[in-house]
This record gives sequence, C-alpha cells and structure tokens, in this order.
Amino acid sequence: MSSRALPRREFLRVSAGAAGGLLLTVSVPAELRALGDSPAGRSPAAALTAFIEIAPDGAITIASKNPEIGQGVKTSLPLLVAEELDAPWERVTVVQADLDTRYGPQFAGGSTAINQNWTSMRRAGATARHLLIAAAAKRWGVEPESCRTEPGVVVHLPSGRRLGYGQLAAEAARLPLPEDVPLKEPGSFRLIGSRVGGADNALIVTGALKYGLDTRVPGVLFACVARAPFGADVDRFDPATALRVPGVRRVVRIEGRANPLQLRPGVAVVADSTWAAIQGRKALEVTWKPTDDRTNDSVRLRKEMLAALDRPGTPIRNDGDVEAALARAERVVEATYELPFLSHTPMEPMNCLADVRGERCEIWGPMQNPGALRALVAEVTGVEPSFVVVHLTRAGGGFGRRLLSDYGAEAALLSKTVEAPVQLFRTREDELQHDYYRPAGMHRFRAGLDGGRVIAWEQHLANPSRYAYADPQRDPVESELYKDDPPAGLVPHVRLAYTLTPSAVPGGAWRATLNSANAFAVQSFLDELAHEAGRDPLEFRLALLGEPRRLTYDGHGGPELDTRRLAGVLRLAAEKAGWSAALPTGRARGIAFHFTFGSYVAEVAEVSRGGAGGM
Amino acid sequence: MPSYLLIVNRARHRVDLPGDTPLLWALRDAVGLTGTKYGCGAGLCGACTVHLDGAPVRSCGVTVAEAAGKPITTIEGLSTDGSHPVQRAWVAEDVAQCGYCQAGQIMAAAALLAANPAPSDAEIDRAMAGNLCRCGTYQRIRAAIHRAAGRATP
Repeated sequence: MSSRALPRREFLRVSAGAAGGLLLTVSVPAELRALGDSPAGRSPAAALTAFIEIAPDGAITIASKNPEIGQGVKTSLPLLVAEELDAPWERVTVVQADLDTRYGPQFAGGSTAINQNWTSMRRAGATARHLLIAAAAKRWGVEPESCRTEPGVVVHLPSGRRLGYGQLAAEAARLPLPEDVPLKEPGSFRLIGSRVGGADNALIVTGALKYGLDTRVPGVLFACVARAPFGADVDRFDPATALRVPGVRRVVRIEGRANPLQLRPGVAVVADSTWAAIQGRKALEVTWKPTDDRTNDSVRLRKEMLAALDRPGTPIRNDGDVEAALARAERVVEATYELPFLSHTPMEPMNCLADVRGERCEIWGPMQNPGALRALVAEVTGVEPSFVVVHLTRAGGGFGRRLLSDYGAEAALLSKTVEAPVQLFRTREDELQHDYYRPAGMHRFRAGLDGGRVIAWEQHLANPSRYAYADPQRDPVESELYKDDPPAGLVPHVRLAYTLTPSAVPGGAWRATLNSANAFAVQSFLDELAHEAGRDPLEFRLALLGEPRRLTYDGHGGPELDTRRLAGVLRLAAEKAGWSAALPTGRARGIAFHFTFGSYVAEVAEVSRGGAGGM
Repeated sequence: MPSYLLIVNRARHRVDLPGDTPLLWALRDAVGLTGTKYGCGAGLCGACTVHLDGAPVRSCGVTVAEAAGKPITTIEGLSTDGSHPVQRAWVAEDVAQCGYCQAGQIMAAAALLAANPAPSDAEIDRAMAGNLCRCGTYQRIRAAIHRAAGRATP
C-alpha cells in the first residue's frame, strides 16, 4: 500500500492534492484511498464525510473508527452511519480506520462505544444524506424538501424521478457542509434494532482476516522477550547460547520504565521466524535481581490480607450506626470472600509490528487505546507523535489488557534497535506469567437481619490495588471499593472500609475493573443473607431495592442510579430464565444484579452438579 | 537446514526448517498462510486446528517432519470461496465475536461432520470440547453445527 511509506503530515498533504475537487475532507484513510485508487478502472469514489465514501456504482464504504476487540463495533458503529445515510446495508463495505484525529476519540473500553458515538455517527450519515438530496435537487432544479430517500436512492416525490447515490456522490462532495442536520425519529429506523451479521464474518470464516499477529511486511523480524519476574530486573545475561540457535539475529536488553505499566524489563530475542525466536529465548541464559520489596508471594499476600481484615481499615462510607444496628439485629451474618489474581488471557496474545525508520514509525497491532500507544511509542523512540502512523488490526479479544501499550513500546524499541521491522509477540506462557492482572482481593462482610430484612451492612476490602502497584505513593482508598454500590443507599446503617496490602504483582484493568470482583462478592453475600432469612433470592433482592427511587451514584455511569431500573432488569432476567419453574435434582439457579458504567445488569445462572464435585 | 515438502490445500510447498518446527509455525511463517491461529502452542486451546490426512490435529503439536508429504487442509483450503456448509452456517448464525478461535472451531466442526453427519448436542460438545472460545460463543457454535448438518437446533 503506497501510504505505508509516508509520514502522517506528508500523507495528509498528498492525499488532499490527489483528491482534487472530489474530496470534501482533507484526507481519507489509507484503506479508503486504496479503494478509490483501485485498478478497477472506476473513477475515484467521493468521500462525503470522514466516514463515508460512495463509488459511482453506488457501492458504499464506511470507516469504523474504534478498535474492534470482539464487542462488535465494526458492525454497530457503521450501522449507525448507514441508518441515517439510508444506505442499503448489503452495498456497504466496512473498513477499519487508522488512528486519525479526524475520527475523534478511538478507544475500546468502559462500555462506551455506542453511548458516546450514538449521535456523532448518526450525524455523519445524516450529513451525507443531506448532501446527496441537495445534489439531486440541484440537478433536477427542485426544492430539496420535495425529495426523500429510499435505501441508496434519492426520489423526487412529485415527479417520481430517481437518482442513485452513486450518480450523485461526486456532486454531493462538492457542496458545502450543512451546519446541522435533523436525525431520524427512532420509529423510522430500518437498520438500528435489526439483526445484521458481523461486518468481518466472511473474512473470519475463510481465514482471510488479518489479526495483528497475521500482519506481515517485507523484511520483518520476530521477537519475544524473557521478562523479569515481578519486582525484579535483569541482573546478567549471556546472549551467546541464544545466538547459536539457527535464525536468531540479535539479543537485546530492554530497560524497564519508571512506570511499570509502560514497560517492564527483560531481554529480547530477535529472529527470522517466530519459532526461532521462541527457541532462542529458551536457550537464553539470564539471571534476575530483586528491585521491589513488596511481596510477590501469594501465600504471604493472603496472610497480609487476612490480617488487614482483622483491623478496622480506612473508612470510605459511614451511614447511621452499624455497631448499634448489629447489636440489636435478630441475626448477624459474617462471611469472607477471596478473589485470586486474574489474567486477561485473550485468545490472541499481545503482539505488535513496529517499523521505525529514522524520524518516522509505523505500527500495526491489536489495541484498545491506540492514541495512548502512539504517545508511548513516540516517547520511547523519540519519533514525533505525528510521525507515528498507527494501523488498528482486529483484536482477538481485549478484556482491558490492550488498554496498556507496553507491547507496542517493546516492538518499537526493538525495531529502532535492530533497524528493521519487528513483530513482537508473546507466547501463552508470557500472557499468563507477565500480565497486568485483576488484583487479588479479600472482602469481609457483616450484616444484620431483622424481620427478614437487611438493617446493617459492613464491608471491608483488602487488596493490592492496581493503582498502588503502578505508583506506590498513591493512596487507593477511593478507587477499589465503590462507595455508592448497592446495598449502600438501600440499607440504613452502612460501613465500608478499605486497606491496601501492597504487592509487586502487576495490576491492571480487567473487564469492568473491580466491578467484576466487587459485584461477585456483594451478590454472593446477599445470597447468603437471603438463605439465612429463608427468603427467595429474587424476592429478597427486590425487597432490598424497595420503592422506586433515584440514589446518588458517584462513579462511572453516575450521577444517579434508578432502583426502578435495577428491579426491572432483575424481574426481566428472572422471567426469561423461568425463575419460578421447578428444577430437577442436582440443578440450581442463582440471580444477581449490578449497576456500573451506566448499565443496569441482572443475570441468572443455572448450574448442574457434575461428577466428582464438578459443576 | 533440512528441507520438507508440505502439501497444503493441494499446493506443494518446499520449506527449509528444522524438522522439529511445529507445523503451525511452518504454515504461518514459511508457507505464509496465517488463517491458522496461534493460541497456546501446547495443544490446549484448539485455535490452530488443521486437517492432516483428513483428521483434525493441533498444528502446534505436529512437527514439519511428521506432516511432510501428507495432505494438509487449513481454513484457507476448506473451500475456495467460503461456501463449505460449515463456513456458511457460521455466517448465518453470526457465530464470531472476536473471531480469533473460529478457524480452529470451523476445522474441528468440519471434521466432526465428515465423521458424523448428524451429531447430537452431546456429540457436538464432546467433539468440540478442546476448542476454547474466550468470548463464549459455544451456544452459537452448536447451533451452526446443527445448521450445517441440515437441521435446526433441536
């Protein structure tokens, strides 16, 4: 692809020039440009907004801006554009956009894709549709108001004349952009709310789709890294044994950065093939030295968490008088929940292909936060950020792991050092042994039951905190337990507390961060309380939620939490799962709810007891 | 460096690699077919499943020396145009989420149906148990296999 060799600024200038009068926007993504320049002999397609290109034959290309990590945005975001464009979906080809400021934020995390792009994607489509109608009206010499669209066609209502989008695109692209355009009423949606297949399905089932690890460029070398154990650095290494493995080219030390989320220390083996790099690393002789006195021993950490729970902890919420309420409760229930460190383990391991040449750098890889990856690559290589070109590949899962850019930094540093394109890859063992894990944690609960209702609730969390891992000076008291999570706000007497138990084990964001851990602990304990109270777990939760009301929620998805909606999703999940239907022996159901990221969630799990104590 | 003949999707490829190189890496790095995915390199996830002599194998656990001279089919060779019934069923059921494991799933499913044209749920679960999907698309995988077998999900 010709754009590969061009730094960003030049690319922008050249494409604007090459575009001539046809292009409305300053540039088009490389993939779109390639389509326009394709040797099929058709005239270049007209770009109507940054996201849309329509060819003379009516074929529509829509750029998808966000990273696709399996959540479906490569289908859903273009679908929003297509809806307002009134595009025939079967004529739409979706391409992945490179990282480019024209697209606005490009990010996969926090369940934000639809709610943050709902309006802007639709507006992109509506703008293009407005331009197509204006072009048709101009050609016919009629008022735009007398025209409407059918999928892919502008129709002049009084005369019944019709023009396809492809016949209008070039003219439309020359018209001035409207200030504002009306959006469809939800009642008239054709595509939103319908079921369409994934945009990449045909490529996935034939093996044609290139994930990050499948990216190849001429002269590429392959690298894997022997990384230091947690809280350690390289002591000594001897490259000789690795260099004797056929295909191994270089052995390169990687210095860790002060922020361990950016880069951890190790020794890289660079080779002609993936297998040679793996074999070379196996042969490498390296010793490590400890640099962090925080524990990396899970037995010791567990003891420290248990000891911490026997002390009061730092208060983070205090409603009413928990001690007095517990003293007068009919029954006090206590439980401790332990959660292990969890690895992200996406099916596609971390990988990145970097090609650093002089003052420019080109990157291909699966990532959730490409802007942050570019910034870090620029920092470690010294290449100016605007000369770091970033191509987003479809990711074989993310789960929060690819929010960090350490693997991009490794690839870029290695490419700069060996002066060749380098595909940095991690093996499955690397993924499990050198992740930024969801931190382990221990929750201790005490609750008072009176008349079958919860009158007092106490929760104390001890954990190593991912924030404190990255910055030992940071006090993570506000970040680990979410002070407005129900049943806080629903129970009159509540006390929440936190204790940091430091660890050198790397911590990171893992699937909704600690919501996944905290909700498990809270909802499990609620189940124990329902059991103690002799009440149905669903009915017990609905009673806890009580009369519909809005509670303060000072966290992601706030500022309010509507208990009516929590009760609503609980009832809906229960209904769909046939909550009250009898189950055979050996089968059981459980129910849980949670609010975060602005979403109300309820789940029913139905489990069977298997042989040998299995589930 | 020893030389081996790999017969991949009916095409012959001469590869110069150490004999203990896993077939997976020979396919991906030497032959240049990247549809077969690396997931674990230890035969634990099924992402690298290909057909060797018509039988499903984990290509990370077979060496080039063992595979040399035998017919190998990868996801790219299952059909020339995505028209294999399993591929069509995978699209119709919209199975893929991230999609990374699906080449291995499809190869395992195609081998299952070749051996058992109308598998039950239990037979599907048994045959597919070694193919992991981190997104959890198992229900749709099962539905797609039934569809490919010419049946609606029972």
